[in-house]
Amino acid sequence: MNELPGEPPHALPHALRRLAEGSRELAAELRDIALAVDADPHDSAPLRASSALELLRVVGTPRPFRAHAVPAWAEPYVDSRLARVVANVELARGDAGALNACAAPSLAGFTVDALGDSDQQKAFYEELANERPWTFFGMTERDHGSDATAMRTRLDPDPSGGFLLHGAKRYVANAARGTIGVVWARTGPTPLSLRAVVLRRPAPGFTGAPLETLGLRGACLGEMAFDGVPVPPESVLGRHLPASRRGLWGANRAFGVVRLQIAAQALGSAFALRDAVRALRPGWAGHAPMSARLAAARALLYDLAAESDARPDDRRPPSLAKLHTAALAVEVGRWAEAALPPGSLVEHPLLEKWCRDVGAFEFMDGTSNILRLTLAPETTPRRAPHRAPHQEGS
Amino acid sequence: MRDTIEECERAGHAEGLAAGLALALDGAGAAAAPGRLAALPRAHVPEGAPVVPHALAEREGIAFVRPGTGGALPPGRLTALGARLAAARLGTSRRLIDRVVAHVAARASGGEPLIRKQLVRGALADALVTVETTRRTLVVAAAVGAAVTEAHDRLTSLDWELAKLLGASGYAGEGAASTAFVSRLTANCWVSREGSP
Repeated sequence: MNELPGEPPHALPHALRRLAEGSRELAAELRDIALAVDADPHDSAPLRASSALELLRVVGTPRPFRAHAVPAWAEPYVDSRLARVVANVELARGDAGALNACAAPSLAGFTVDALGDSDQQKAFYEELANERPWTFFGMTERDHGSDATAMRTRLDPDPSGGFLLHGAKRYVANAARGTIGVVWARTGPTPLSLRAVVLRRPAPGFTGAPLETLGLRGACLGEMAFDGVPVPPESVLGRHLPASRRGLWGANRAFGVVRLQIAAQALGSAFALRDAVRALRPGWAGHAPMSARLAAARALLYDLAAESDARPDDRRPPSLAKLHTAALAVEVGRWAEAALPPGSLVEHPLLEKWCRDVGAFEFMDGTSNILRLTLAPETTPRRAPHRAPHQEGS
Repeated sequence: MRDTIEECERAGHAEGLAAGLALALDGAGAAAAPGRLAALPRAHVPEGAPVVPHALAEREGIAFVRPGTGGALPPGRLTALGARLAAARLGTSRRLIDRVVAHVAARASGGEPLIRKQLVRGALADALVTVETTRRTLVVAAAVGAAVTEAHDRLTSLDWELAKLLGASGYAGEGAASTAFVSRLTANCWVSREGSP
């Protein structure tokens, strides 16, 4: 992974170095299906046939719920945010679009992990193991964007028992093809009344439709509508938690994981673009400044993931990570364009696709302005002790 | 040159990218392109010319054509074409500003219209500065290749900063990011850079 003269070796534990190497091998398979997924992301045949995606689906499932064993190198994936970051950089270096086509637990799984009781987790993950479905996570609404507290989707008591879900969600991955996932709704007017429910499809009143997107089309974004969808009481997450932890606390936990993962995918995409330029201009030394920035971004990302493992409720490390790498990936696309002859973007379909893909990271799970608001200091800073970069074993 | 630049910007703003490109080309065909692909208004593509399929570009009325044999424009004329194309792109960027202003004026967050949020106001103000400075650059430095290239880069950056203000709605569907991306691809076909192979 060292690519710069004099670059110090990465201080990753041996197990994470093996995870990176294994992920890099899988990345080659993702690259093979990248253009097909981009051309027709709703064609499930190449996705179901991909051994790499099948392995990633199981690798991303918590260990007790895996349908079968995974290779030893992949075992650490679910153990830490740092491990997910290490793997996702390498996987996205193959192709982030294909990676996002994986039928993995994803944000729905992170939410069930944070808010589900043991029975709910068992039911959710057993269905994933048996049916291999794509999952969805519905929070964003058409007119409210990132302002979760303004959401209008309602979870009303059903006179015949349980609840009824009314409302709509937009920009939901797998909105049309997902058959299980998590949807957020409010039971009352206050922020504490926001609740997550596990939803399955088909269900009465539950519809979904795809949306065209400029890039990262493997995520199959779409919209969902709920017209009195029945929700049994056992599908409401957080019942066993105190009121302060039933709602957005769980979403923030999930976003902490996923923002780091997206940051890693953005950086992996940036590396892919840089790699493509190097392949098209063999022997050109002009890539060195950008390569140095990418190496620094990776070192920073690793450090932030380790910090986030230590303080999972601190929203700043994932915000800083995503804010930086999402912008860097867009910048690397422009750098690649400038480094190559006129017409190169259309001439090289993967380059063209990656330049579209990198824009998507801006809009996934927190735009840059939302992240800035999370990150900006609100009080006079305390003087922090100097900290060495992440070290092996730390 | 000032009149030509203004006319290309007007076409890009009033009629869109393909109309602006048609004016910017000023009769130049695919053979004039400096690289292995030319971007042309679809209506100007000669019958039988080898076209690289591109769905997003088709939606904007643009086609990518292999130039075949023929001589690229000499550097001075290519730079002038690049300046006219930048003006056309500037017009499409101004279209995007119009759309963004309408969007942020209609949406609220935390009970306040987005257009009153300091981060949003700052981004819109920066966009207006970029529009004015780029326009003057194209008038006073249309013959300076590096200045024209830099103007194109600024427009690509401007479009992205504006598209971000639309949130995911600009990235999905036949959204603003799609138009901006085709604008960028079009420039990539016609702008030659010092130092690139």
